[in-house]
Amino acid sequence: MTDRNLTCAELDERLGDYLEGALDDSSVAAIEMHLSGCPACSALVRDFERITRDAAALPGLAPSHDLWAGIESRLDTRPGTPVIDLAARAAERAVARTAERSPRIGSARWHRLRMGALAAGLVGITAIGTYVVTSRSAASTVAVAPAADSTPANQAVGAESSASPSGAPSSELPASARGIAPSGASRGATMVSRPARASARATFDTEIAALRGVLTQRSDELDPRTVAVLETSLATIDSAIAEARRALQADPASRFLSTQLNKMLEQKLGVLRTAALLPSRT
Amino acid sequence: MTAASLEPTPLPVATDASDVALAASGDRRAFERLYHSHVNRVFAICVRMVHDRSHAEELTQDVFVRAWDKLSLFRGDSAFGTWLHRLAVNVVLNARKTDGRTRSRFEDDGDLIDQLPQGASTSAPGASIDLEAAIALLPRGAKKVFVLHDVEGYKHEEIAEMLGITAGGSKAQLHRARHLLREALNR
Repeated sequence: MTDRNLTCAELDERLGDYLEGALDDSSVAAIEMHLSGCPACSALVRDFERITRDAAALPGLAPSHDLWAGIESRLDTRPGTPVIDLAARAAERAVARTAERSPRIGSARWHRLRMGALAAGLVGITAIGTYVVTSRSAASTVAVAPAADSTPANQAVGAESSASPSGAPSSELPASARGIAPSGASRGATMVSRPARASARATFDTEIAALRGVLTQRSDELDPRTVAVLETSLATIDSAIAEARRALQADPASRFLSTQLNKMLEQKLGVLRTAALLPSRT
Repeated sequence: MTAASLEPTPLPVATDASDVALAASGDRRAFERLYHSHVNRVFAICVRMVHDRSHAEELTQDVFVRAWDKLSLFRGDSAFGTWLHRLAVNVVLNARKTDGRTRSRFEDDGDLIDQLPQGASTSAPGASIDLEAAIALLPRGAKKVFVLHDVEGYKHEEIAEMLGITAGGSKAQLHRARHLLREALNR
């Protein structure tokens, strides 16, 4: 076997593969034979092993200060909401589980699964309802199309990607209703008539009421801590919504206030959709 | 490097899942919790890749802003931490492609490794700091591959794809990095 006479240089060339266990048995045997008689190469292997071990164990590093404030100031009102995808996936899961386990499941579990599937369906239906209503409104009233960032990542909502920068078109209408990621209010120049806004808000109200009902029904199935967090979030949003409505009553023509109100309603809808799709306690 | 280091924070996977869902629906407090859970790992990736704390902090902010924007694309096929770390790597690499602020220490000249203090050893107390310092002074190409492979655990094929090189090139850079580190740490 030629590997019996490995030189130090040859061993060095193969060392990476050796450490990763990527060599065949005969190559490993040749390397180990060389190592048994070569202190210098043995030391090299030990050092490499120590470096790789220590590197893998390196700890996290703390920034010099808390970066959250800087991050939060750059966040859009809300991230792109996986409205239809999430619903579809939850429905798929519920159907798959039902198909797999239906012969064995008890009535209580069947009820939970059914509720989950219904919730998923309701989320999908309400999302589509918002989409239809707001799309119609937008189509009839949008005066200027926003400068959209049509990156592939934004076009392919639902396809996990982490490589490309993100951005998205902006509108006064809910971004989630369009199934795309939202962006800052300053990016678009879309104009929407007041009747359209009212229509969109009516849709919001309908969806919120429906999903609220689901959350109420599911409250016994969910972890009480989760429910508490959800209720706190909803209470905070409700408070902001009430404030925005009051301000809008005083200044009905304000686009800013109208946009803020829509964003808050959208936020509430997002929380409720998430709640509707949370898995039941086991 | 004199960066204050922390013990690795156990990743609260179960909490992540609910916080990811809440954050995806616009809950900033949930996203803030995710930030606090992961910021040290994300910052570590950034600072080890660029070796400039100020720039790394900017990049860390970019990573979380990007994560917020792209949460809807997170499908839960992997752990949120895995997804976020990959996003961090991409943010760093993309920033370095377009960043005009070239720093001389990033130049691939290999001389900076000579700046390491003598007698540093990975087996001594404070070994991680010594290794951090040695990594920071690696030539750019070797450093990127070493951090991605030996610190972050990516495979050569993945690194090759990220960096636009071949798997063989990744292996060669890793080998070079290990030799340089050994030399520096045993000096």
